[in-house]
Amino acid sequence: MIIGIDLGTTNSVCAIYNDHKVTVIPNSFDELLTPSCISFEKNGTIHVGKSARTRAALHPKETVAQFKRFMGSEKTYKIYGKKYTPVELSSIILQKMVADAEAFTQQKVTEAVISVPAYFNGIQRKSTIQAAAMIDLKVEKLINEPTAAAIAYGLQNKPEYTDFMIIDLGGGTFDVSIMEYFDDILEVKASGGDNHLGGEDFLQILVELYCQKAGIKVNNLSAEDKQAVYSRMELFKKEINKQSVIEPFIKKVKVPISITGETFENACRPLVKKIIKSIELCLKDAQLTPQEIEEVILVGGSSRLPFLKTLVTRIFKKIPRTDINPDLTIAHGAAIQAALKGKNKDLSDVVLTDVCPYTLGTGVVGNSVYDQSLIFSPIIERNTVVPASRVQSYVTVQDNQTKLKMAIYQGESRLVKNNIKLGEFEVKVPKAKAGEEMISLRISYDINGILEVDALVESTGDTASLLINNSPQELTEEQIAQSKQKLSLLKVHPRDNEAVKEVMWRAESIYENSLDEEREALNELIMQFQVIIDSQDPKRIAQAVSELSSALESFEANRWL
Amino acid sequence: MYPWDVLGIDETGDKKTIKKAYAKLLRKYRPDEHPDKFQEINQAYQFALTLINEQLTDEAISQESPTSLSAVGVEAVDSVSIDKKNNSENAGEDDPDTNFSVDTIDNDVEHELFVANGEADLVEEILAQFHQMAFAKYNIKKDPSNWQFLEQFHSIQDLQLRDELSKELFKRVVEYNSFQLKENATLLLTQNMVQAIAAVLEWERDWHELQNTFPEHYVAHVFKLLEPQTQLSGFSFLMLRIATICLEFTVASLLAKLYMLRPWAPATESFEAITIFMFMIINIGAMTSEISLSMVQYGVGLRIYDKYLNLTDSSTDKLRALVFHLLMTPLYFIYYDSTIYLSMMLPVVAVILVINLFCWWKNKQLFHDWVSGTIMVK
Repeated sequence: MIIGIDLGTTNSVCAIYNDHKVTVIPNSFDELLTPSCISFEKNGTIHVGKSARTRAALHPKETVAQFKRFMGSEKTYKIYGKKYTPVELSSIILQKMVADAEAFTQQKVTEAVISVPAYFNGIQRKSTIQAAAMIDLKVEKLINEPTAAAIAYGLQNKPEYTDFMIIDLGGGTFDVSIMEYFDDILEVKASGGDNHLGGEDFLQILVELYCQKAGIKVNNLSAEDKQAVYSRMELFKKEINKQSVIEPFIKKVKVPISITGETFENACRPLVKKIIKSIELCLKDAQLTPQEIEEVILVGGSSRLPFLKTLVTRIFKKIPRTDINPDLTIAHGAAIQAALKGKNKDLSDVVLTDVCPYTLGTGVVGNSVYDQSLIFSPIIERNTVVPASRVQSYVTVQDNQTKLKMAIYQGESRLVKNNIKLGEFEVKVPKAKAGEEMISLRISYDINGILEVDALVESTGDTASLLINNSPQELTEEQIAQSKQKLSLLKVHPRDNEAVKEVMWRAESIYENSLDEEREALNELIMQFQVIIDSQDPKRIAQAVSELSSALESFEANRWL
Repeated sequence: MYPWDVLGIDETGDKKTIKKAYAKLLRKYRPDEHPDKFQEINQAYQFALTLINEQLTDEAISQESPTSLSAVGVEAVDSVSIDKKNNSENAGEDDPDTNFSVDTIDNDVEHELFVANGEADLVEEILAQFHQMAFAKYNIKKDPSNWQFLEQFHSIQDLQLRDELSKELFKRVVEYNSFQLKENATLLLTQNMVQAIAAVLEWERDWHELQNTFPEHYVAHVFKLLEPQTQLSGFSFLMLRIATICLEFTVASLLAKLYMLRPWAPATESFEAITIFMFMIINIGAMTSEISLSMVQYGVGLRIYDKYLNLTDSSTDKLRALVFHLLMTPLYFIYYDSTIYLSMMLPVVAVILVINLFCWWKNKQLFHDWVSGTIMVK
């Protein structure tokens, strides 16, 4: 069976396409969003999702989140003396998604379509595929998130020959894409964004705003208080337009704090400016004006921020669409794409054309003798339709030069030192005067983001080539096998037990942050709960979990509102 | 005929026909299954669309008055490198590259173009304020808050107009600076200001487009200013400094020995030591300041530029410093003991003064600037 997975920075979702409709698969909490969060226990047991996020309050050092941001980098997380790479951690999340899907459908999941931000480079894409390989999941296709969103919004029903824009503000990334759909062709015209801008940044602003008003410093807070402030602000962010007063909820703050929607909006202005700039750049790349965009679709949980909708309406003079739950849109699209890859009849006719989201090129010596830094010479411009193959000619700069060092860079900066070096190789040329030997450098970018570089020496006909899918961050078969072994030592906490654990941790976490009377009441509840757990009667346990859960909710509500 | 034969249609001006043909081909040659054929079709498709767009733009231009200043903008840039009448007395006549003039004060033509657009007033306002601020007192223009008016740039709705305004301002930065450099060897808009302007207008993002629009030295001038100061660090920097100090020390001791061979020089150890010490202090000061200038020059915020208005690289700076300190040597002696050395050093000082005056008269540059091909800029 093939499923669609939205492997998100903050939350992950999986879905299947069945009977002409998309079904989002609930996790063991019967929730559709699974936090991309993993918590480790000393004995090798791991908790994934909501239970891990709850556990983060009690064990912040043993809990990891947001690792998608570091996909393809050399960052590792050290937990109980063992190092985990973002790839390995992502594979744990994927494993959880697959387990949920298998439990839901009672079928074996063998393949998946996984969504990645349009901004992901070749290495990051490869890392995602490898994360899946670690759990023997075959990636049928990586799909760019905005493409998935466009697919989710039922292209068939759109008027033809119209351009539309997808704005995806997720937890950690921000993507903008312009697409056109006509005659069963879905053409991506341009994509852009910022892979370090998302809901978390807005949350951070709100947290800082709160701390500033309350006269405390975020970094001086204890781990528990910090967690409490973050989760409280997360809730407050959603209701800021209705409610502007926050009652005290940590011991350090004794007075109610008031933050109005307007104050928040003002504080967010620099972020909003970034968003506007990305949108405008995307329009520019697509050579379109805001008036020419027929429809704007908002995706991603953070697109619920009220002022984002206002902003988009102002720029485009039309109200953006948000009819599908913005948290689930991408998973919807991924599931449909999965069906599409399986040549499901409904969708087999849609042809997707995608663009390369960044510029690829090489470094050249500038004409100015005083400027010694290498200047970027683009070969494939960003937003070129892929697969693409482009060629540029370069000449020698010194008399009797015997070789040219060709380095391939990815990025948008004028100086190559600010761009990412993907690889380099040398080409031998016959000795001649400067400028007389010429080589043609061809870069081919395939649909999977794999780069092939070919150099042809014009005078001799010699060729040299480089295949870029072999960077240091990338894992070999052997390393994958090692990771697999390492991960196999970890025991995922049994699904049926998850809810019990989660609610217990939540109770403990609330307990730690409460005052005397509340503590006593809580203690009572926990003791009762423990008795029921010991009875080992599944029905009674399930009932107790939901009871304790709602009791805790009222605890939280009392403290917070 | 290309691209119509690839798309399998007759030449047309209709977008829909092209898209239909493209779609039909694409269903046959999917990008994932036939990458090569797909590329061929896609390129023909893009080319066909470009042809249509050009056709449409041509029609639009012939029908109504032009709404864009791009055509004139490019023309103005070209004329800049030819136009020499403002600078004919100045040096560098033989070098057309460095001769840009400020013809932007006369902006009647641009005025016409902006009027055609609804947001013309705002653009004009920004240009006027920019001009005013550029020629304002240094104390005023160095304050970033006085450049806030540029933020209005983002409220221009017409993206194309905005683009053109950005390019116009880019051109002006280079030309104003060039103008001021010719007049009194200073930059009208210094690094901080240009960085602030570029941040708003996002020149770093649009570098490729700017590079395709403007001559090489325009782009080089602005981007050199945009670059953060490169600071060497680590082991190589330490070695470089040690090597420099050793070199300075050798030069200084050799010079001191040379002076001591003269009958008028006092043959004392302390004199030699003091000479060397002074050289070292001055040169270490010069080499350790981040822009390879002496402490005093650095303190008053002087910068060195080459004749292409680029910040110089370090070897040029070193050459300049070396010539400068050699010329200053007699003064160091006078400073050490004016009663003994004044009469002896005076002829040397006079010669240096004459050389410098001649150099100034001829090139508007001091000797050491002329030798190293640099311009001092505050």
